Amino acid sequence: MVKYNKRQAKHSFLSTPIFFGIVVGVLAVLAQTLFRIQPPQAYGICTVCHARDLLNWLSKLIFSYELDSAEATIVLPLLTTIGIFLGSLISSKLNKEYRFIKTENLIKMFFMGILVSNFGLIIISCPTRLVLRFAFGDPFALISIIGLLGGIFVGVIFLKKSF
Amino acid sequence: MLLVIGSLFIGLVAGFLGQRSRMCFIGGFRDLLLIRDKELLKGAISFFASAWLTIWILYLIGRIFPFLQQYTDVRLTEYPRIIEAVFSKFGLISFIGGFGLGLFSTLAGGCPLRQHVMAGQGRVGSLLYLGGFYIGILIYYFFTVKIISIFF
Repeated sequence: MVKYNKRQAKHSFLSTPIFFGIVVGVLAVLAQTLFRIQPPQAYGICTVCHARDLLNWLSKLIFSYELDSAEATIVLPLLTTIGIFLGSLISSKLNKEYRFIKTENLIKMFFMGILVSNFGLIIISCPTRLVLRFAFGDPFALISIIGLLGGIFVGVIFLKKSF
Repeated sequence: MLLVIGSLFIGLVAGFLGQRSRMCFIGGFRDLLLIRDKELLKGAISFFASAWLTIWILYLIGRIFPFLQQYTDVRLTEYPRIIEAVFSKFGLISFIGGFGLGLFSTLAGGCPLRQHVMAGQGRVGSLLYLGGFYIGILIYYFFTVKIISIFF
Protein backbone atom coordinates (compact mmCIF):
# COMPACT_ATOMS: atom_id res chain seq x y z
CA MET A 1 0.00 0.00 0.00
CA VAL A 2 1.21 3.53 -0.78
CA LYS A 3 1.46 5.90 2.15
CA TYR A 4 2.29 9.48 1.27
CA ASN A 5 4.49 11.23 3.79
CA LYS A 6 3.21 14.78 3.85
CA ARG A 7 6.43 16.18 5.30
CA GLN A 8 8.43 14.94 2.30
CA ALA A 9 5.88 15.92 -0.29
CA LYS A 10 7.20 19.35 -1.17
CA HIS A 11 5.45 19.97 -4.44
CA SER A 12 8.28 21.13 -6.63
CA PHE A 13 7.73 20.13 -10.23
CA LEU A 14 11.02 18.23 -10.35
CA SER A 15 9.72 15.57 -7.95
CA THR A 16 6.35 14.87 -9.55
CA PRO A 17 5.48 11.75 -11.56
CA ILE A 18 4.74 14.01 -14.55
CA PHE A 19 8.39 15.15 -14.69
CA PHE A 20 9.52 11.50 -14.45
CA GLY A 21 7.22 10.63 -17.34
CA ILE A 22 8.48 13.44 -19.58
CA VAL A 23 12.21 12.87 -19.00
CA VAL A 24 12.21 9.05 -19.09
CA GLY A 25 9.77 8.95 -22.03
CA VAL A 26 12.06 11.12 -24.15
CA LEU A 27 15.18 9.20 -23.06
CA ALA A 28 13.59 5.81 -23.75
CA VAL A 29 12.92 6.74 -27.38
CA LEU A 30 16.23 8.55 -27.89
CA ALA A 31 18.07 5.49 -26.50
CA GLN A 32 17.35 3.70 -29.76
CA THR A 33 19.19 6.23 -31.88
CA LEU A 34 21.73 7.66 -29.44
CA PHE A 35 22.83 4.44 -27.70
CA ARG A 36 21.77 1.95 -30.42
CA ILE A 37 19.52 -0.16 -28.15
CA GLN A 38 17.79 -1.82 -31.11
CA PRO A 39 16.82 -4.09 -33.30
CA PRO A 40 13.90 -5.00 -31.04
CA GLN A 41 11.77 -1.93 -31.38
CA ALA A 42 10.73 0.02 -28.25
CA TYR A 43 13.51 -1.46 -26.12
CA GLY A 44 14.81 1.69 -24.44
CA ILE A 45 13.71 0.90 -20.90
CA CYS A 46 12.48 -2.41 -19.54
CA THR A 47 13.20 -4.14 -16.25
CA VAL A 48 12.24 -7.74 -17.10
CA CYS A 49 13.98 -8.02 -20.46
CA HIS A 50 17.11 -6.07 -19.52
CA ALA A 51 17.50 -8.23 -16.41
CA ARG A 52 17.15 -11.28 -18.65
CA ASP A 53 19.82 -9.97 -21.03
CA LEU A 54 22.15 -9.33 -18.09
CA LEU A 55 21.60 -12.86 -16.75
CA ASN A 56 22.08 -14.33 -20.22
CA TRP A 57 25.39 -12.50 -20.62
CA LEU A 58 26.56 -13.68 -17.20
CA SER A 59 25.57 -17.28 -17.85
CA LYS A 60 27.33 -17.24 -21.22
CA LEU A 61 30.45 -15.82 -19.53
CA ILE A 62 30.53 -18.19 -16.55
CA PHE A 63 28.74 -21.41 -17.57
CA SER A 64 28.83 -20.93 -21.38
CA TYR A 65 25.12 -21.76 -21.39
CA GLU A 66 22.87 -19.54 -23.47
CA LEU A 67 19.35 -18.66 -22.26
CA ASP A 68 17.88 -16.19 -24.73
CA SER A 69 18.51 -12.55 -25.50
CA ALA A 70 17.49 -9.69 -27.73
CA GLU A 71 19.46 -9.07 -30.91
CA ALA A 72 21.05 -5.85 -29.67
CA THR A 73 22.56 -7.43 -26.58
CA ILE A 74 24.26 -10.55 -27.91
CA VAL A 75 27.74 -9.13 -27.34
CA LEU A 76 27.31 -6.67 -24.45
CA PRO A 77 24.83 -6.59 -21.54
CA LEU A 78 22.39 -3.84 -20.57
CA LEU A 79 22.82 -2.44 -17.06
CA THR A 80 19.45 -0.67 -16.76
CA THR A 81 18.27 -2.61 -13.69
CA ILE A 82 21.55 -2.00 -11.85
CA GLY A 83 21.31 1.66 -12.84
CA ILE A 84 17.80 1.98 -11.40
CA PHE A 85 18.94 0.37 -8.14
CA LEU A 86 22.03 2.61 -7.87
CA GLY A 87 20.12 5.76 -8.87
CA SER A 88 17.54 5.15 -6.18
CA LEU A 89 20.31 4.42 -3.64
CA ILE A 90 22.13 7.68 -4.49
CA SER A 91 18.92 9.71 -4.41
CA SER A 92 17.75 8.28 -1.08
CA LYS A 93 21.19 8.81 0.51
CA LEU A 94 21.32 12.42 -0.74
CA ASN A 95 17.83 13.20 0.57
CA LYS A 96 18.30 11.23 3.81
CA GLU A 97 15.42 8.89 3.00
CA TYR A 98 17.48 5.67 3.12
CA ARG A 99 16.06 3.43 5.81
CA PHE A 100 16.61 -0.28 6.26
CA ILE A 101 13.00 -1.32 6.83
CA LYS A 102 11.97 -4.87 7.57
CA THR A 103 8.51 -5.41 6.11
CA GLU A 104 6.14 -8.27 6.78
CA ASN A 105 5.27 -11.09 4.35
CA LEU A 106 8.85 -11.68 3.16
CA ILE A 107 8.14 -15.14 1.73
CA LYS A 108 5.11 -13.80 -0.16
CA MET A 109 7.27 -11.09 -1.76
CA PHE A 110 9.82 -13.72 -2.90
CA PHE A 111 7.11 -15.75 -4.67
CA MET A 112 5.55 -12.60 -6.13
CA GLY A 113 8.93 -11.84 -7.71
CA ILE A 114 9.05 -15.31 -9.32
CA LEU A 115 5.48 -14.99 -10.64
CA VAL A 116 5.90 -11.44 -11.97
CA SER A 117 9.09 -12.25 -13.88
CA ASN A 118 7.49 -15.39 -15.38
CA PHE A 119 4.39 -13.57 -16.58
CA GLY A 120 6.53 -10.66 -17.75
CA LEU A 121 8.73 -12.92 -19.86
CA ILE A 122 5.68 -14.48 -21.57
CA ILE A 123 5.02 -11.11 -23.24
CA ILE A 124 8.68 -9.92 -22.98
CA SER A 125 7.64 -6.68 -21.28
CA CYS A 126 7.34 -5.10 -17.90
CA PRO A 127 4.54 -2.53 -17.38
CA THR A 128 6.98 0.26 -18.31
CA ARG A 129 7.81 -1.27 -21.66
CA LEU A 130 4.13 -2.03 -22.33
CA VAL A 131 3.36 1.69 -22.25
CA LEU A 132 6.40 2.38 -24.45
CA ARG A 133 5.32 -0.29 -26.96
CA PHE A 134 1.82 1.16 -27.03
CA ALA A 135 3.33 4.58 -27.83
CA PHE A 136 5.08 2.93 -30.81
CA GLY A 137 1.68 1.62 -31.96
CA ASP A 138 1.98 -2.09 -31.14
CA PRO A 139 -1.51 -3.71 -31.12
CA PHE A 140 -0.32 -6.60 -28.93
CA ALA A 141 0.68 -4.05 -26.30
CA LEU A 142 -2.87 -2.70 -26.34
CA ILE A 143 -4.26 -6.20 -25.68
CA SER A 144 -1.73 -6.67 -22.88
CA ILE A 145 -2.63 -3.30 -21.32
CA ILE A 146 -6.31 -4.30 -21.30
CA GLY A 147 -5.29 -7.54 -19.56
CA LEU A 148 -3.08 -5.54 -17.16
CA LEU A 149 -5.97 -3.28 -16.16
CA GLY A 150 -8.18 -6.35 -15.62
CA GLY A 151 -5.46 -7.91 -13.46
CA ILE A 152 -5.11 -4.75 -11.37
CA PHE A 153 -8.92 -4.67 -10.93
CA VAL A 154 -8.92 -8.26 -9.59
CA GLY A 155 -5.88 -7.49 -7.44
CA VAL A 156 -7.58 -4.46 -5.88
CA ILE A 157 -10.57 -6.66 -4.97
CA PHE A 158 -8.13 -9.05 -3.23
CA LEU A 159 -6.46 -6.12 -1.44
CA LYS A 160 -9.81 -4.76 -0.21
CA LYS A 161 -10.54 -8.18 1.31
CA SER A 162 -7.07 -7.86 2.94
CA PHE A 163 -5.64 -10.96 1.30
CA MET B 1 30.46 -0.12 -25.02
CA LEU B 2 28.03 2.69 -25.89
CA LEU B 3 25.23 0.23 -25.15
CA VAL B 4 26.45 -0.48 -21.61
CA ILE B 5 27.11 3.16 -20.66
CA GLY B 6 23.89 4.35 -22.29
CA SER B 7 21.67 1.82 -20.53
CA LEU B 8 23.42 2.52 -17.20
CA PHE B 9 22.76 6.24 -17.72
CA ILE B 10 19.06 5.68 -18.48
CA GLY B 11 18.78 3.45 -15.42
CA LEU B 12 20.45 6.03 -13.17
CA VAL B 13 18.11 8.80 -14.38
CA ALA B 14 15.03 6.58 -14.04
CA GLY B 15 16.08 5.41 -10.57
CA PHE B 16 16.87 8.92 -9.32
CA LEU B 17 13.63 10.45 -10.60
CA GLY B 18 11.64 7.36 -9.66
CA GLN B 19 12.83 7.69 -6.07
CA ARG B 20 11.91 11.38 -5.95
CA SER B 21 8.47 10.94 -7.50
CA ARG B 22 7.48 7.44 -6.20
CA MET B 23 6.52 6.58 -9.78
CA CYS B 24 4.81 3.25 -10.39
CA PHE B 25 3.04 2.14 -13.54
CA ILE B 26 0.77 -0.32 -11.73
CA GLY B 27 0.08 2.23 -9.01
CA GLY B 28 -1.69 4.67 -11.31
CA PHE B 29 -4.75 2.56 -11.94
CA ARG B 30 -4.59 0.93 -8.48
CA ASP B 31 -4.63 4.27 -6.64
CA LEU B 32 -7.49 5.46 -8.85
CA LEU B 33 -9.55 2.43 -7.80
CA LEU B 34 -8.47 2.33 -4.14
CA ILE B 35 -8.09 5.93 -2.95
CA ARG B 36 -9.19 8.06 -5.97
CA ASP B 37 -5.70 9.52 -6.40
CA LYS B 38 -4.75 10.50 -9.97
CA GLU B 39 -1.15 11.61 -9.36
CA LEU B 40 0.61 8.42 -10.52
CA LEU B 41 -1.77 7.93 -13.45
CA LYS B 42 -0.72 11.38 -14.71
CA GLY B 43 2.89 10.13 -14.67
CA ALA B 44 2.06 7.08 -16.79
CA ILE B 45 0.07 9.19 -19.25
CA SER B 46 2.86 11.78 -19.54
CA PHE B 47 5.36 8.94 -20.17
CA PHE B 48 3.15 7.71 -23.02
CA ALA B 49 2.60 11.21 -24.41
CA SER B 50 6.25 12.27 -24.35
CA ALA B 51 7.39 9.00 -25.97
CA TRP B 52 4.73 9.37 -28.69
CA LEU B 53 5.66 13.00 -29.34
CA THR B 54 9.39 12.18 -29.50
CA ILE B 55 8.75 9.47 -32.12
CA TRP B 56 6.87 11.89 -34.36
CA ILE B 57 9.31 14.80 -33.88
CA LEU B 58 12.17 12.45 -34.87
CA TYR B 59 10.12 11.32 -37.88
CA LEU B 60 9.57 14.94 -38.99
CA ILE B 61 13.27 15.79 -38.57
CA GLY B 62 14.11 12.78 -40.72
CA ARG B 63 11.74 13.97 -43.45
CA ILE B 64 13.08 17.55 -43.43
CA PHE B 65 16.77 16.58 -43.35
CA PRO B 66 17.06 13.29 -45.28
CA PHE B 67 20.79 12.91 -44.56
CA LEU B 68 19.94 12.42 -40.85
CA GLN B 69 17.50 9.60 -41.53
CA GLN B 70 19.69 6.77 -40.23
CA TYR B 71 19.72 8.54 -36.85
CA THR B 72 16.06 9.51 -36.69
CA ASP B 73 14.15 6.43 -37.88
CA VAL B 74 13.00 4.65 -34.73
CA ARG B 75 9.95 2.88 -36.18
CA LEU B 76 11.72 0.29 -38.29
CA THR B 77 9.26 -2.61 -38.39
CA GLU B 78 5.55 -2.38 -39.17
CA TYR B 79 2.98 -3.83 -36.77
CA PRO B 80 -0.11 -5.83 -37.82
CA ARG B 81 -3.56 -4.26 -37.62
CA ILE B 82 -5.51 -4.48 -34.38
CA ILE B 83 -8.11 -6.95 -35.74
CA GLU B 84 -5.42 -9.29 -37.09
CA ALA B 85 -3.64 -9.07 -33.74
CA VAL B 86 -6.71 -9.99 -31.69
CA PHE B 87 -7.41 -13.16 -33.70
CA SER B 88 -3.80 -14.34 -34.01
CA LYS B 89 -2.42 -16.89 -31.53
CA PHE B 90 -0.36 -14.23 -29.78
CA GLY B 91 -3.53 -12.27 -28.93
CA LEU B 92 -4.64 -14.64 -26.18
CA ILE B 93 -1.16 -15.07 -24.73
CA SER B 94 -0.67 -11.29 -24.64
CA PHE B 95 -3.87 -10.98 -22.64
CA ILE B 96 -2.89 -13.77 -20.21
CA GLY B 97 0.58 -12.34 -19.69
CA GLY B 98 -0.78 -8.85 -19.06
CA PHE B 99 -3.42 -10.16 -16.66
CA GLY B 100 -0.89 -12.09 -14.55
CA LEU B 101 1.54 -9.18 -14.57
CA GLY B 102 -1.17 -6.81 -13.30
CA LEU B 103 -2.58 -9.17 -10.67
CA PHE B 104 0.70 -10.21 -9.06
CA SER B 105 2.28 -6.76 -9.28
CA THR B 106 -0.73 -5.33 -7.44
CA LEU B 107 -0.43 -7.97 -4.73
CA ALA B 108 3.31 -7.29 -4.43
CA GLY B 109 2.65 -3.55 -4.12
CA GLY B 110 4.31 -2.08 -7.19
CA CYS B 111 5.57 -2.67 -10.70
CA PRO B 112 9.12 -4.11 -11.17
CA LEU B 113 10.56 -0.60 -11.64
CA ARG B 114 9.06 0.55 -8.33
CA GLN B 115 10.40 -2.58 -6.60
CA HIS B 116 13.93 -1.86 -7.88
CA VAL B 117 13.60 1.70 -6.53
CA MET B 118 12.29 0.51 -3.16
CA ALA B 119 15.11 -2.03 -2.90
CA GLY B 120 17.54 0.87 -3.42
CA GLN B 121 15.86 2.68 -0.54
CA GLY B 122 16.54 -0.27 1.74
CA ARG B 123 13.28 -2.24 1.91
CA VAL B 124 13.98 -5.86 2.82
CA GLY B 125 10.76 -7.09 1.18
CA SER B 126 11.74 -5.53 -2.13
CA LEU B 127 15.25 -6.97 -1.93
CA LEU B 128 13.73 -10.44 -1.53
CA TYR B 129 11.34 -9.63 -4.39
CA LEU B 130 14.38 -8.93 -6.59
CA GLY B 131 15.89 -12.26 -5.54
CA GLY B 132 12.70 -14.02 -6.62
CA PHE B 133 12.63 -11.90 -9.78
CA TYR B 134 16.05 -13.05 -10.98
CA ILE B 135 15.49 -16.67 -9.93
CA GLY B 136 12.13 -16.50 -11.74
CA ILE B 137 13.91 -15.63 -14.99
CA LEU B 138 15.96 -18.83 -14.68
CA ILE B 139 12.81 -20.82 -13.79
CA TYR B 140 11.14 -19.46 -16.91
CA TYR B 141 13.85 -20.76 -19.22
CA PHE B 142 14.21 -24.15 -17.57
CA PHE B 143 10.55 -24.85 -16.85
CA THR B 144 7.79 -22.43 -17.93
CA VAL B 145 8.86 -22.06 -21.56
CA LYS B 146 8.45 -25.81 -22.05
CA ILE B 147 4.89 -25.75 -20.67
CA ILE B 148 3.95 -22.81 -22.90
CA SER B 149 5.37 -24.47 -26.00
CA ILE B 150 2.95 -27.41 -25.47
CA PHE B 151 -0.12 -25.18 -25.74
CA PHE B 152 1.08 -22.62 -28.30
